[in-house]
Amino acid sequence: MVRWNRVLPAGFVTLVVLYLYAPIAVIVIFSFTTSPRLSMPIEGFTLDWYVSALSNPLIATALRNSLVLAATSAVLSGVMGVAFSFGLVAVRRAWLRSTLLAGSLLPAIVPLLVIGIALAVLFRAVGMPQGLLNAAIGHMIVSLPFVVLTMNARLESFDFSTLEAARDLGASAWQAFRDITFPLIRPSVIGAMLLAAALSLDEFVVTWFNIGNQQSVPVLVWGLMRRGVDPSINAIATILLALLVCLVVASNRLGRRNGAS
Amino acid sequence: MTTPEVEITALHKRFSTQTALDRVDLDIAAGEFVSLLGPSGCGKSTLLRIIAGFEQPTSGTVRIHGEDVTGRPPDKRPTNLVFQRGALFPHMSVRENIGYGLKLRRWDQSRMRARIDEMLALVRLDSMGERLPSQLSGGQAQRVALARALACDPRVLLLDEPLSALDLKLREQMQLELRAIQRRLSATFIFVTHDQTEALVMSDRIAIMNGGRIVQQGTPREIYRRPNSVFVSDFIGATNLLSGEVVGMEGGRLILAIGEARITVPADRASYGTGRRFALSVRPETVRLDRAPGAAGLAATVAEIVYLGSSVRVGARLGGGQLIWADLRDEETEGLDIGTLVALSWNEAAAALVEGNER
Ligand SMILES: Nc1ncnc2c1ncn2[C@@H]1O[C@H](COP(=O)(O)OP(=O)(O)O)[C@@H](O)[C@H]1O
Ligand SMILES: [Mg+2]
Repeated sequence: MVRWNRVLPAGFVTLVVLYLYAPIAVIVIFSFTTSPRLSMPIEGFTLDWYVSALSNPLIATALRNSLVLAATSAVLSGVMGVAFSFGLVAVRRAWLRSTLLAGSLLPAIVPLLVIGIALAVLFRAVGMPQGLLNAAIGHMIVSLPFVVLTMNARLESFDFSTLEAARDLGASAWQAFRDITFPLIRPSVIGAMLLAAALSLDEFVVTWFNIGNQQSVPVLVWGLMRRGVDPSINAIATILLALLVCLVVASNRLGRRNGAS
Repeated sequence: MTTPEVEITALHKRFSTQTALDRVDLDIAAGEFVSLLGPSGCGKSTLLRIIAGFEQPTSGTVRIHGEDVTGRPPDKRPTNLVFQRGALFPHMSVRENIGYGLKLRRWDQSRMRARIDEMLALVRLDSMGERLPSQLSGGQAQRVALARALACDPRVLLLDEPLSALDLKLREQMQLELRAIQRRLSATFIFVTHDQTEALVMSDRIAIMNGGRIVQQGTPREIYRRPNSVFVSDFIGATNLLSGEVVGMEGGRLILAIGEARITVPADRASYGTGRRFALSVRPETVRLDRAPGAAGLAATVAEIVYLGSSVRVGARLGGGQLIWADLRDEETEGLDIGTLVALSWNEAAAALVEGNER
């Protein structure tokens, strides 16, 4: 007898998983197949698309730009977000603290289109020509709320009396930071920075409005797609995917290790 | 006269909206165990944190060993603080926690190791040195916090309700241990608590605080037997408070009217004039209860009988309606029932006349 109450949920779950991952699986598979067209059946295995993607100077430059953007955004939004979060927990009045927190998280739900256009208008108004720097500033705005969110969660469970204990035992403010604060928040800081890098790597909308003639990987891919599908796009997408998965997994693991301690 | 180890003079502390300390004066001798006792919010922690250097007083001075330390940061003071919840460094082992202050003082490795061993032995945690704080029980964590604070050999050890998070049995055991350690080191301890039993058990001297002031200081016995206010007598131990009016004098003794009844009490202060109202604090364990018809004492009717195991607490109502509690031994209450007529009496010396009869 068919046990419908078991088969139905299982079937449904399978469908949803397929729906979520089939497009990604297709792109990863075709980045390794010999057929230059997206067609079935799969003919042969090759790394040619990776070779051609990486030897294409346009793509190599875009990749380098994307990595520069990701690194800048990770470091700067990391530093700013951590400093902001420390300032936030020091605010005594609860309503002010929650207002500031909500305010700093708001950009996460403002449409990227609005952020992108607003920045473009602003940069033009102050006479700053479009380019990588403008895109980097945009990426920081996009990542900052997530850094603040991560750090705020960490600091809310942080036992600040440990810092007083350190001072009491003879540590200067700097020594207390070096020996106690920093080791305790380091995993969260790195996790937040990896998340910021991940958000930056595949950011398209804000970048497109502000990067000018330069290319980041998503902007370049968008341009290539308009001229027809080049199989090296599959390779680029797969590289991007691999980078993102690594960043997000590492970020999560650090977050978890932090929670356990 | 030797200078006190800790000298607190005219200390005031205002936070934006409220006064946390209001003219606090307190002298503490070297080697003394002093408790700051009072209800939550009365300013105990604020006083301790000013001594430790975490808060600055609005005015007043703190001297330690004759030296004015007001205005010095915590890392430049000869005090160490044991925090309410330990505040152990979660990423350091027990040994590293205890050694942290020594490392900052640049002790060399072998001397440091010896000192840490000594401290671990003192708090009886010899085998726990390599554990992380998360692997310790609440009692062990507080012992490590104590060892860490004592490792630097402070002139004055400050403790802010260090036992309040522990359960009763462990707390009682730790009270005795802490007291024993203090005696062994002959160190000066200032101990904050809101638990009157804890203060009575541990202290050489108790300073009772209320509303930012020290309202009475003295040995546990003095405070228990001779409270100087309704607040103190009520806060320390169980007590009966009988409010009455002075209606006359008789050979150096006051006659006090309590409802219908008249009782006499020794007049140990000059300011008792006829017509003034006072409260008489009578501890339940000093109240006698006599069932013989015509016995001397205040006539009352038994209204409550509460069995406590080691004793029985009997409530008897006076003619005026006031309930007086007496703690009796179990066998003394045989045949006693609700409604039994009794005469209540107590040793005059056991009763304390206190100011502030309004309750
Ligand atoms: N940092 C602070 N800011 C404002 N008010 C405070 C601060 N610390 C303590 N207070 C206030 O001062 C009073 C005394 O507090 P505290 O010393 O912590 O009392 P206790 O330790 O006796 O419970 C309380 O009313 C408390 O609300
Ligand atoms: Mg307190």
